[in-house]
Amino acid sequence: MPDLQASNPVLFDLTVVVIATAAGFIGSLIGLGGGALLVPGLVMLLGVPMKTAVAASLVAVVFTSSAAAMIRGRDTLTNYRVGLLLETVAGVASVIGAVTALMVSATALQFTFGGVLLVIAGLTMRGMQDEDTSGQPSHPWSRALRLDGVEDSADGPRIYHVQQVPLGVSIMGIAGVIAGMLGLGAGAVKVLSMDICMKMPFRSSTVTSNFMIGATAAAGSVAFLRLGLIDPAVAGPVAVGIVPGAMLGSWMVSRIQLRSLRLVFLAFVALTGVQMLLKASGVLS
Amino acid sequence: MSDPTEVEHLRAQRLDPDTSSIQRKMIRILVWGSVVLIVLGQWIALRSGEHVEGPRDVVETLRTLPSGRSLMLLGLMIGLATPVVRSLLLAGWFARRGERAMTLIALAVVAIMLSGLLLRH
Repeated sequence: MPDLQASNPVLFDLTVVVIATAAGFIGSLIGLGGGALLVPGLVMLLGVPMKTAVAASLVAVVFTSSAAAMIRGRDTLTNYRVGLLLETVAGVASVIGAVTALMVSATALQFTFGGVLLVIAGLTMRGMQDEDTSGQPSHPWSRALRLDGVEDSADGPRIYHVQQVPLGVSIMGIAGVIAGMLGLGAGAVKVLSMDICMKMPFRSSTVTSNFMIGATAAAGSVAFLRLGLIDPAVAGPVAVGIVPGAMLGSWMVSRIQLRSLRLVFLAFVALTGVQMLLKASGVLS
Repeated sequence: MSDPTEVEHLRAQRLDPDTSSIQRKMIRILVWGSVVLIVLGQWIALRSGEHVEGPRDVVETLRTLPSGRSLMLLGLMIGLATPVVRSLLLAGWFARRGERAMTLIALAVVAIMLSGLLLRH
């Protein structure tokens, strides 16, 4: 429907709002932003040009992150200290990635990132329960920056001691470079870095990732805005649709069973990984 | 069973309820304000038959306020400013607590977010 925007702008806007609501719901639920759902929806269903859809997707991630934060109780799950620390590394790395993007083949990067996403899906499938780190000593960086936290669950408060901080930071650096090269938010790697490497509880990891992706996407959006690449006719309805979806997803995070949350994450990451591998091999355009 | 003393100690490291409430209110104002401006802009554009499609220069667009397109863009800009304001609030909170390292980290994140403003065509 490439001409729907011109022939029936109201129907176009409503369709964008519906797609964005779904993307906002999934994005805020699992901390990935929802761009992987939004971009194909806009391009394939509505014939929006790829560049316009990518710019709208960055805007969507910022609104997802902010709308999710409007829900009461979210702050007790978000570990702002870990989020800010990792975001500094990811942010600088993504700038390096964007600058060096021309030196590396996009196909090779897509293959690499697609493979990485499938590995993340595999690792998530292997460990469906949070690891209890309350008896383990904290990493020295964790003590210095007070990164440890407590998650309030139905079974009472659960302490977690943040582990392997340098490894988590290094993974964020690599993820940042790849994200910058491919123009992605890399939410899946952010969740992986906190959940599997730093041994944070999965719920806290997704909610903290939601905070981080907002900052990452804001950096990209500001650049797109400065260069005049954001089309309000697409990004506007996207923002309007994202807000209720993200609020609902955020409300669901602390109510959905941990296993179900991990399964949704797993399915979404695996699908995105396969999609990226198909793109790299030329099966998908 | 978690150690109650450690639980209380770790809870004290979280964003305090007052700052958390200010943050939530501020985000609500910015996000809903942004949505209202976008919807208003779209409505004006639809009513007047204004052409809003396609990317254009930000400053030139804002000069046409209160056109539909400019209101939509202003709404988007307010929404995009939310993570910046949020990180500034966190930097202020860490500074009040005397946590220099975390204050600098939060300010670095703000600088990274705003680095896109330095880009030129």
